[in-house]
Amino acid sequence: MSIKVTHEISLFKSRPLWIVLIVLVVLLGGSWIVFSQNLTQERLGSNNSAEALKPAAVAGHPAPEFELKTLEGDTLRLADFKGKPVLVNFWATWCGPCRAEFPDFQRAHVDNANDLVIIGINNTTADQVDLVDDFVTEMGATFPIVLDETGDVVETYGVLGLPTSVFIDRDGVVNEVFTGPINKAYIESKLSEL
Amino acid sequence: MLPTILIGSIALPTYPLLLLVALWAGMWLAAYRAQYLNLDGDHVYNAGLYGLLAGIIGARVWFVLSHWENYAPNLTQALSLSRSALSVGEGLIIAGLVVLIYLQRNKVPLGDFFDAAAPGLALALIIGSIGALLGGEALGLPADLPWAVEIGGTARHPIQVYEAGAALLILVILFVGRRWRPWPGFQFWLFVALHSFSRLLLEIFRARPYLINDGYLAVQILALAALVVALSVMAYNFSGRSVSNNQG
Repeated sequence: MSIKVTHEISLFKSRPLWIVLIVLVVLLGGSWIVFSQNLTQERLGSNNSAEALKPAAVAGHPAPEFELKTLEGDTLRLADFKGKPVLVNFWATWCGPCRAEFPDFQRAHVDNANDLVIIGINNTTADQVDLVDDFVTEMGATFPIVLDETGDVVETYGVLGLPTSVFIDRDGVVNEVFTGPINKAYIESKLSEL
Repeated sequence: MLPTILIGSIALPTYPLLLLVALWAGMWLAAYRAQYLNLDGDHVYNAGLYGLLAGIIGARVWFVLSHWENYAPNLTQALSLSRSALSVGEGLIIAGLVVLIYLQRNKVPLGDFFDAAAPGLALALIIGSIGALLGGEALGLPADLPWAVEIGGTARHPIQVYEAGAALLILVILFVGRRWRPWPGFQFWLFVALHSFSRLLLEIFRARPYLINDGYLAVQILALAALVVALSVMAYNFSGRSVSNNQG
């Protein structure tokens, strides 16, 4: 009877080498993390912040300014609401999901009147003004409704589908652009971020 | 950028669409690889679909619980079919747990299963990163480089391309080394180590990283932890198999 012991000699089998590798990874990785943190702090404090970016409907960018007429013929500017969170909603009367979410916008407007401004922008180039009036009356909407009669704001905001909601924080920076219906609970859950 | 794909009058959001494509492609590749590891490919599809369902439901439940004061007055709002209101990170964890439970209950060898899944995960990352680029998600830092991508009028690091490139490199490494399986689970832990390393390096190029405690990038910390765990598992499995005694 013979006893045969097989030692598989391989670099991978060396426990000390693995320990050295893991320690090196921790030290180098940790240093990289600290370096990244310093860079991030510098960046956040520098002029490479939202103000340095071009206005665009992209999270982190200043929201593009607009000036549109309300159904009553008054002029409404986004800049009028700087200092308050704003929810801009693009919609049309023929859009089913827009119709479904409108009551939630009205309820959110009523319950959060002091904390949130909701602006409904009708895509009037793809709609009819008299239908818009009937729709708003039917929905009982009391938040500002404006008409994008040239389509310029829709284009500036890159709206490709309806409804599209743009959450803008109190500094005028875009927080989120969402295409699809949203509800009151989701709107209110965003307030702490704005 | 192509945030939505128009089919007639229906606007489909690009990023979620490509995430579904990524999941399906990943499952297909994993099921294909499973054959070579003597596994039933159906387990890949079952685990993937159970994980997807659990992940979506879990992500919604977690979001609702995190914002209970907003949902409590009208809980039916939690049932909205909108793709908003999802806690993605927590959903992924829940999906992972459900996959593990499925595998345990069906007595699927974990090491073999996750070795089969590794190239599928890499492929899914490639497609998902491209989806993020097209959908304008997870943007890179502003940059003045020849290869910068303009989004919202600002030229940015195409971090999504960097991530897709890293995932492609990982896929190539896994393909080239596909016959080298010194122990069950090795290819999966190799994937974890390589992917964690890439996230550790690349996260610095993200425009709006998740920050904790005075500006530390949370993803980098998680990535370093995952890398250390992966290397530790490899160390244990390699160095624990250094001696074999044959008596005859």
